[in-house]
Amino acid sequence: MQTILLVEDNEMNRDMLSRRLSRKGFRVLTAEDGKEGIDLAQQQHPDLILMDLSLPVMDGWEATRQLKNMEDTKRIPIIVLTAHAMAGDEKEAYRAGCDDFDTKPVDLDRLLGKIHAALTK
Amino acid sequence: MVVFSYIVATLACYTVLHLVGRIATSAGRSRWFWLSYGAFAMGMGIWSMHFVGMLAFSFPFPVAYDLFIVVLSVIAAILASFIALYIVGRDHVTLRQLLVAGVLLASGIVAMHYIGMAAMLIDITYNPLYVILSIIIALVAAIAALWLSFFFRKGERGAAVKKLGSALIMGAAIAGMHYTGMAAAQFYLGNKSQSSMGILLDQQWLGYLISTGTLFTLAFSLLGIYISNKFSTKDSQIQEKTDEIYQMNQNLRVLNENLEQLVQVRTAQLEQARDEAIKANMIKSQFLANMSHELRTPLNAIIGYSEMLSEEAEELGEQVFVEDLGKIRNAGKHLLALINDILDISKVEAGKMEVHLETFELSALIQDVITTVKPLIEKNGNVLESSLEQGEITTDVTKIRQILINLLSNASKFTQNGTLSLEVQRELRNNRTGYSFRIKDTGIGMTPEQVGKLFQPFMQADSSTTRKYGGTGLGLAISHSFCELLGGTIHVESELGAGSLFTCWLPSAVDGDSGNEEQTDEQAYTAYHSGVSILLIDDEPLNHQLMKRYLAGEGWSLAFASSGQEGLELARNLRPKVICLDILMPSMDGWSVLSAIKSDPELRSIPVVICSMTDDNQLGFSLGASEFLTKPISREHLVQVMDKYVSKHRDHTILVIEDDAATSELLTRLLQKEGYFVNQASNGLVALDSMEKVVPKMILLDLMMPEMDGFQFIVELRKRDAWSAIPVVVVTAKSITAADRLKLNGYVKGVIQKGSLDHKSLLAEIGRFIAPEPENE
Repeated sequence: MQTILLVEDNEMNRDMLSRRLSRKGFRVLTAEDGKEGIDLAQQQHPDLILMDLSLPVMDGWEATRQLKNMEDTKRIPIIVLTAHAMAGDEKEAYRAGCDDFDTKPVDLDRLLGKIHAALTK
Repeated sequence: MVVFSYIVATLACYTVLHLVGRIATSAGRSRWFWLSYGAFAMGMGIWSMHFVGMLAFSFPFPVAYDLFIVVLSVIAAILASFIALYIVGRDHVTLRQLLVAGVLLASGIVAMHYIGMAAMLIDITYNPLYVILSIIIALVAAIAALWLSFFFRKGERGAAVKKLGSALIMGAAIAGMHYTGMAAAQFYLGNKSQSSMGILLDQQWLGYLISTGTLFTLAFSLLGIYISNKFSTKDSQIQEKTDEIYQMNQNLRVLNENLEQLVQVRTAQLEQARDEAIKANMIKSQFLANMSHELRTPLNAIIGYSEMLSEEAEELGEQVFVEDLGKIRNAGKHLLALINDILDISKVEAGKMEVHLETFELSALIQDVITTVKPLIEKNGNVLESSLEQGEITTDVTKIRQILINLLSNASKFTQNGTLSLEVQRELRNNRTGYSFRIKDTGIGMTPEQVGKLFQPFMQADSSTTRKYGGTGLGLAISHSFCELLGGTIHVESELGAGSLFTCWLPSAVDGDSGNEEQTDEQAYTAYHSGVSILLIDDEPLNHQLMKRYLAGEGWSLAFASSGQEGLELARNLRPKVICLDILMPSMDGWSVLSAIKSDPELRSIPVVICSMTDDNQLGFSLGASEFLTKPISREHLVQVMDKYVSKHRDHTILVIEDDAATSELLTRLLQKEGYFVNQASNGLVALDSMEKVVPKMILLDLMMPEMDGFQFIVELRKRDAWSAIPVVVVTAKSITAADRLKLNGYVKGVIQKGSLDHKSLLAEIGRFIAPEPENE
């Protein structure tokens, strides 16, 4: 069973997405902010990270940057999820080092496609 | 008789007092008329008084009069009156003038009296004491009369009574003088009465004469008073009117001044209101963008949970739940689509819509669009026909996709059981290649009024449409904005009941950036390397596009800044040839930018053209602006003004002589992009041929060519005087030997090695030789 770490501060979105992913056969870990996400990633070494961008304590850009800079986590693929529709988010996210990018609201089929693509890379 | 004589004197005086005012206020011929008339009336009055007084003096014997002397006495009376009136009628009278006039008048009266006495054919001896007394009385009376008449000549109210009073006094004075004079005389019959000189008047004739004179005087007096009154009424009416007009004039002036102030105040208010409106609109767009984001988060949960539950329900076999959960999910998706529309239009309005260019096959795009809209089209029982021209396009694929989906779903929404068609054709517009996308339906169509407001945000053709057909009414406004953003146009032809035809034309390549901030750096970089001609500082992204459309085609390179700060920064980095400056901008307005430019020693020399809604030319010029254009600016005018400050490259033809087609093409395209006019020649012979037709401003020359190589070409070129001044730059792959250098020396301006050919230095080189040339000549 593959493990996905979902870093998302909104409780409902976290609950919903984690449940839907569980139903698709993933083990899902959740974190509420960037700092917690980094800690969990270091402890559990998930197969993939879904990262929201606007997060408390440490935002998604910074968390992505740090994860990609650490030896033991830099190989974990990160898909950035954002509800930000404003300009520049996507570029900024890629600059931080993410592997893929998806916008919220999540279209589950589309996201699953991206997850599989990232996992099989 | 005595009383009668007194009345006559008084009447004459009264008339004269009236007339004096009239004399004073009239001028020219009418003044002389009144003067003469007054003198006559007064003279006759005094004279009549005298002779009536003489008649009152009952002689014990009949007395005859000498006619000639009688007439002389009348003349003396009139003359005296004339002098007196002349003095009194003047605007200002000094005391001395008054005294002199008084003396003259008195001597006139006295002369009249004693001449009158002399006319009597009777011997008279005079008592000197009474004579002197009569003269003194005459003097006092005359001066008093003059002073009074001068005093009363201003026709104030109640003056009539005062005039009458003073006329009575004056009359009494004259009569007093007369009777004093009479008292001085002692009559006795002597030689004189016997002698008969001239025409003699007996007392009976004298009676007639005097009665006539008196009647004349009375009539004259009354007539004079009447006319004078008439005139003075008219005069006062005229005066009143004049006063009124003056007053009105004053009022008008005051109003005018107030109006100017009002206009100034109002203009300031309007400017402020406009600034505020612009800010408010930006805040609104920002708010909508944020709000849409906030709305999407809970919506995300609604759609997600309903999807999840619907899957679970399906697994559990609860078909009823599956259907209802599907409705929640669809409603959520619909709401999301609406929110996305609002977000899009706000982004466009806030100038934050990005354009991501990529090159793709049209057929793939159209196929994708048709698949997406197919369910919608079939829902209303419509059929879609499509015809498509193959080709590639470089544009923002998401936006063109959205435009086409919007137009097609719109067409489908307003058509029942009809035919829709999508036609894609290559089409050249304004010398630009592009594609036109025609979407035609056989639906309800629109009236011209509806068409008029079709592309405005939040305006459906009819607000009842929203209720019936749904949608935000933003679809077409978004399509319109996107189309402009991609450098294209959109328009509609429609007939009520017969359907609509939407035509969207997009260029096959979007040039440059599309006004978003992300690309400004890149653009600025490019601009730096190609030498920017015009920098536009304007906070409104639409104006950037407009300017681009207006000016880019003219061969100028442009740079844009969306705020004053950014503008100053770009001006320092790019050193444009001219700056177009908007005035009404948030945070740092155009005036501040202008004064910052003009106080910076490095930027001061760059001409600034103000392009604004305001037309405060004076302020602009005083701050150092070179030119003032009031929005909306016409293309022609703008180009004309810019042309003054940036000489266009297009006037310069460059001849590229190069046998390698690829290199020639590369150079040509590079130069054309800079706005130069380029002629190509594949060797020296072809070049000479071409120069017979068009003399270039500059020649780019390859050395190794068939038929006639570069060296031979230079030799030929020098043979013609007219051509010898044309600068030549050698562009060659050949390594130049010392011998070559000797051959070229003095004939070519520079040598560029093909391997080291970078655009920047090539263009710089060309600019160096072309730009100063007109000054040298």
